This record gives sequence, structure tokens and C-alpha cells, in this order.
Amino acid sequence: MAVAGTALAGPYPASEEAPGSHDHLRERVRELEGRVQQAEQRRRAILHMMGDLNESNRRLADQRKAMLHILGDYEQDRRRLARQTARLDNSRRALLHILQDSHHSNMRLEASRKAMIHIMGDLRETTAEIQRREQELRDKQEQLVQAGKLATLGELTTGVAHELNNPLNNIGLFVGNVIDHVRMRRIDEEQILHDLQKVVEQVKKATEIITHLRTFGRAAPATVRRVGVQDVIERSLSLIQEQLRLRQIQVQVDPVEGPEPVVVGNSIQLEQVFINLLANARDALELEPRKLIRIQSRVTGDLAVVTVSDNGPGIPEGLEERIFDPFFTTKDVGAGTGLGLSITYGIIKEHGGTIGVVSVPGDGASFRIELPLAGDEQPSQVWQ
Amino acid sequence: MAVIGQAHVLIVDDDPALLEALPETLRLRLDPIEVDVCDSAAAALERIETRDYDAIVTDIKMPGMDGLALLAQIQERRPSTPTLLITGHGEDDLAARALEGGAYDYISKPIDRDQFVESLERAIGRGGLTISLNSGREAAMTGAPGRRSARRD
Repeated sequence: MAVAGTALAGPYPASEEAPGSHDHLRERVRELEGRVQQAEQRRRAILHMMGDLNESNRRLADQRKAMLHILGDYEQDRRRLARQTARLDNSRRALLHILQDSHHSNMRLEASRKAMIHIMGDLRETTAEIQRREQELRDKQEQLVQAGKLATLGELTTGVAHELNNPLNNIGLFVGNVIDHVRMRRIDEEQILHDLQKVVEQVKKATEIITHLRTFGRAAPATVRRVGVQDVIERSLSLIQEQLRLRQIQVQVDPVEGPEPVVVGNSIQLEQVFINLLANARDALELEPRKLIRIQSRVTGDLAVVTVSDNGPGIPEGLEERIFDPFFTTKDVGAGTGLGLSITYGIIKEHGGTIGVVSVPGDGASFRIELPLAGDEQPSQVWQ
Repeated sequence: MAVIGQAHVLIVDDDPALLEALPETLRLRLDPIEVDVCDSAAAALERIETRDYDAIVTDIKMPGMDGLALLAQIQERRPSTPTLLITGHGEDDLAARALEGGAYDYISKPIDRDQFVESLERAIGRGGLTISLNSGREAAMTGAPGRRSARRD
């Protein structure tokens, strides 16, 4: 051992005194033994320390290992954190984008909101305008209906004047005859009674015509009730048949097969519809050698269907859509108002129905009207 | 009245009430008189084929052949038969066309019985007169044409 060697080969302080004496040697031995002892103690101490150091070393090694583990863990954590940071960074950037986008969206929304407010304002104005126009339109429609009635009335006047003139004339003749009987004192009671009965008949005939015309022309609110379609057709015919008869127009009203169609509506307005259609057919048939109008009505599903057909020249191609327009007429200037069919259209629409025309040029026109059938309830409303 | 024995007239109209009332008027006022009635121009033409009338009274407005067309036929077939046309109230244009077509007179509805009877009397008288002239008798009695033109104004 290096330490022990150094201690043995060191200087000899006691030998300078008496290097060859016994005492001196003994002294020297003791001294050396002391040194050996000391060295032994030191060796032991050193061994002890060495053991301690070893222990410390082992502990340190353990700690280093632990440290290495911790460092490994730490490294893992660091990497994880780095990854998370990267992810977070990405998210942050994405968020930033989103925020930016949402800012843009917000700005756009704000712009849209402002635009919307403008639009709402415009819409309010437009709505008010539309309401005003609608009211105007309703007023006009009402005027138009009345004008149409008057136009229809105008159509009827010639025929009716003729029709009214006949009973008046007959009344005059019969009464004159009675007066003659009395004046001449040729009291043939039976003949006089017969003449007077004829007078009553003729008065009744005239009254019917006038009553009907008056109801027709009146600008009254349109009351609606259950109306038999066939009755309406017959009353319309009674107003215009004199004109048809004089023009040798044959009118064929087919008997209804199945249940009689009943609708809810205003009978005067519905009469107007048929008078207009009949007047239309009358004019269409002017140049035909054989003039025929055919009227059919029936129940189909929940509809009353009426067709008014004539064997006239039909409607020129392309005009089927226009004939219901107001003021559209194919007649000569002054011959037609162009209101008849548009009024007809308006009335049918108001009754919840439809009207259309099928026409083969050269082979007549057929107007088809569909009206919803009346239910079982008793309506008593008034159309304004 | 300086007329006529039994006059025979034809009344044409499509109104059955008139075909009752007017003949009665004539029978009351112009007795003795015989009155035939037809309810259409076509029927009247058939009658005219079979016999001669002293006067014909016809409505203008009738379905089928109207009074003016009938007048034209009468003018062709029986030019000497005076024809009176009945027009509606205020139908002056039809009245004018009737006179242009050779009608003896026109009567407007409602018919004034006195005027009608007077006019028909004249027509019958004139009709008889024309026949008389043609047959060369009673040449002294003239004036009917003057009356006609007077009515025309």
C-alpha cells in the first residue's frame, strides 16, 4: 500500500542520537510500532472512509440513475409539452382565423342588418302601397262590376224595349176593344171578360220584365245564398231569349242528369255571367246559317260544371287567353265594350270558381264554368 | 163609308196576343170584314199564293223572314195589294225602309187603334180603287196616291 510504504521509509529522527544502542533500538521499535499502529489506525480510518466513500458512490450512482430516469421523464414531458404547445399554437392560429372570420362575419351581419332595416322600411311602405292599391283595385272592380252590369243592361235594352213594347201594345189593343164594346153597346160579356183577362196577362208579362231588369241593375251589396244553377240559366234566358228568337238562334238546354247543381252565390251576378255568355254567342253566330247554343250543367265531384257552347266561327287562335282581359274585344269599334267576359271572369272568380274556353277555329267555342257546390249549411253573408 | 162590301185582310205577326187583339179591333170597327192571321212570313206567303187580300198588315221584327222581306215578296207576287208594316217604337229607320220598299203605310207600336183603322180603311179603299182602275170602272175616283205621299212626309 502506498500510504503504508511512505510511512515506513520516512526519516528516522531517534537514530541520530544513538543509532547502535539497545535502548535506542527499543525506543526506535516502540516508536515504529507506534507509527505502525498509527498507520494501521489511519489505514483503518481510510478503509472506513473508503467504505463510506464507496457507500456514497453507490448512493450517488443510484441517485444518478434516478436522476437519469427523472431526466428521461422530464424529456418526455418536455416533448409532450412541446407537442401540446405546437398544437395549442395551431389552435391559437386557427382561433385567430376564426376570430378574424367572425369579425368579418359580424361586420357583414351588421351590414346585412342595416340593409334588412332598410328593406323592412321599404317593405312597410310597399305593403302600405299595396294595401292602398288593393283598395283602389277593389273600388275599381266594384265600379267595373257596376259598369259591366250597365253594359249588360245596355245589351238587353234593345231586346227588352221590344219585349216591353209588345205587352203594352197588346194592352192598348184589348182595352180599346173593350171600350168599343161598351161604346157600341155590344155588351158581349164573355168577349169583354176574355179581353180583360188578356190585359191582365199582358200586364203581368210586362211587370215581370221590369221587375227583373230593376233587380238586375240595382247597385246593391251582393247577398249570397243557395242558388240552383238551372234556375239561374232559365232566368238569364228569359231576359235575352227575345233577341235570340228574333235572330233564329236555337237554344238547347240539356236536362240535368243526376243531382241538380246548387251553388252558393249571388243569383243576379250569376245571371249576368250567363247573359254575357249568351250575348257573346249571339254575336258569334251572326253569320252562321244554322245557329245553335247548347247549355249543359251537371255535378262533377264537388263541382257544378256548366258549359255554354255555340257553333259559331270559334275564337281566333292565340286569343283564348286574352278574351277575358278587360276592354279586349274582337268586335268593331263601338260594337262591344270588351267588358262582358272580363266581368264574367271576375264574378266567377269571386264565387271561387273557374272559367275557361275551348275553341276550335271554325268549329265553335265552348265556355266551361266550374263552381264549388253548396254545402249543407245556410249561408247568409254579404259580400262587400 | 164608300167602300167595300166584305173586305178580306191578312195580319202577320209572331205574337199570339196581337193576333187576337188586332182582328177583334177590325171586326168591331170595320164590320163586315174578314181577317186571316199568320204567325210567320213563310205562312203568309203560302196564304198569298192561294188568294188575294184587300190589304196585308205585317210586323217587321219576326224570326226567320222579317216583315221587310215579306213586303218585297208581296210587291213581287201581289204588287197591287196594299201592305201596312208595324214597326217598333221609335224605329224611324225601319219605317223609312218600309216606305221605300213600297209599303202603303207604317204603323208604329204601341198601335193607335184610330190611326190604324183609318189607315187600313184607306188602304182597302185604295186597293179596291186600283182594281177598279185596272178593270176600267169608276175612273173618276182618284187621289189615293196623293194620300200616300202625304203620309210619307
